[in-house]
Amino acid sequence: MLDEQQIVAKVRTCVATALGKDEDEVTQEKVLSRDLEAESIDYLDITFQLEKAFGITIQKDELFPQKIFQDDAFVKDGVVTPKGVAYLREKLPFADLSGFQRDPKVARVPELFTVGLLVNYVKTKLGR
Amino acid sequence: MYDFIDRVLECESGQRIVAIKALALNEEFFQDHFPGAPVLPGAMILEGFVQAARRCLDDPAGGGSPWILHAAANLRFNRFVSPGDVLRLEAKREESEGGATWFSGHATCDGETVCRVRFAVRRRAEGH
Amino acid sequence: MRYLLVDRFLELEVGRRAVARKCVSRGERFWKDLPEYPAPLVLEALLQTAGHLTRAALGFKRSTMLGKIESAEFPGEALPGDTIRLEVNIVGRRPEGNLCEGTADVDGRVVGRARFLILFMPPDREPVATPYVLDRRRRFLQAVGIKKRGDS
Repeated sequence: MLDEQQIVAKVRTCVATALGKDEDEVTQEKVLSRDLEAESIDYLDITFQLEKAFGITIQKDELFPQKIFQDDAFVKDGVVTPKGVAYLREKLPFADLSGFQRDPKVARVPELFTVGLLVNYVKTKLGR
Repeated sequence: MYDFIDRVLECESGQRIVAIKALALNEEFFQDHFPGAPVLPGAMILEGFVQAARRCLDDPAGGGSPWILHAAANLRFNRFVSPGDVLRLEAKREESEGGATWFSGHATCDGETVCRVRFAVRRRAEGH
Repeated sequence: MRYLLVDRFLELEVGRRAVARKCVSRGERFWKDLPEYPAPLVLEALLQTAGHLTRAALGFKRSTMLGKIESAEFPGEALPGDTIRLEVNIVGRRPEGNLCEGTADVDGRVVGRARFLILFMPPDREPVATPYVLDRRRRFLQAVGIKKRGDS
């Protein structure tokens, strides 16, 4: 059974490996895209690394819900609709959406994806 | 080796180089990569960066470069590059780690980023 | 310079692992003034081995592409006359593609090592499976020993 510290350490290793960064740089508050230069292929790489490190299976859209960018009902004029916010809340129950909801621009969605969010996801997935 | 570099645009000897490669359907490797859907292979973009780095580090008038590819990290693409495109390669030397010389490579096409990579070259061992 | 950089498959465990070989020859039309086989082409040989291994899982009905190279090292060089042994292991398997690790060696001397993502081609880029495409694919798989004469 992994404790919190071990989960955090393994998540940081996964992100560092996927993004080619030093682990020191990969702290929990860092936003994957803005602070660690993650691009779309890197999100898939991170998914592979987490699956391998924790022995879990991550369904498509389970961790990085692409549909938020693809479904017209979820975004209007660059702003995420209430339906879109509900979708995010459903997909990411472990995320804190309060900051996002104050200014729900679709361009801000990537800011939700921090290293800390990945830690929360893994904890949820492992039944914590 | 297949001459990947068509023209050098800028060169700060030992530090930075900008070169271009024009992509012609006439080039044989396109027949295999892929039949009916020609796409510049990622490994060849890497070869292009190595050739650019050689020109950056060597005296262009000298013969037989001693530099060979030592390592590459985090090679990522934003889109496919195809015949009819002109690829612009920029390689900037980074602070050296150990015996190898590291560069950051940035390839663009019509001002749009198509590929990024970090790579290192080292001197070929004596006796070859 | 053509771009078929795997000569023969020695082992192919679908969904897991492949071992192949590539001969390095002056007859390959790209030698200029450098003595060794270019490292990026050693990398490509590993990528192609992984591509065939990945496609095998779907009966070669879908195409693949390179997603990303996480890391690659080239501790040694391959020379004309060498036979490069290419081994690829799938370390992660998803519907989108595979995370692979590959090693290229010449008589046990490692000349290349890489970790990379091989993805299935997006449907809008998948070539239409005309009789010509299928026949060409079959001929290639025969040439490298994945299929035998008479296999469909």
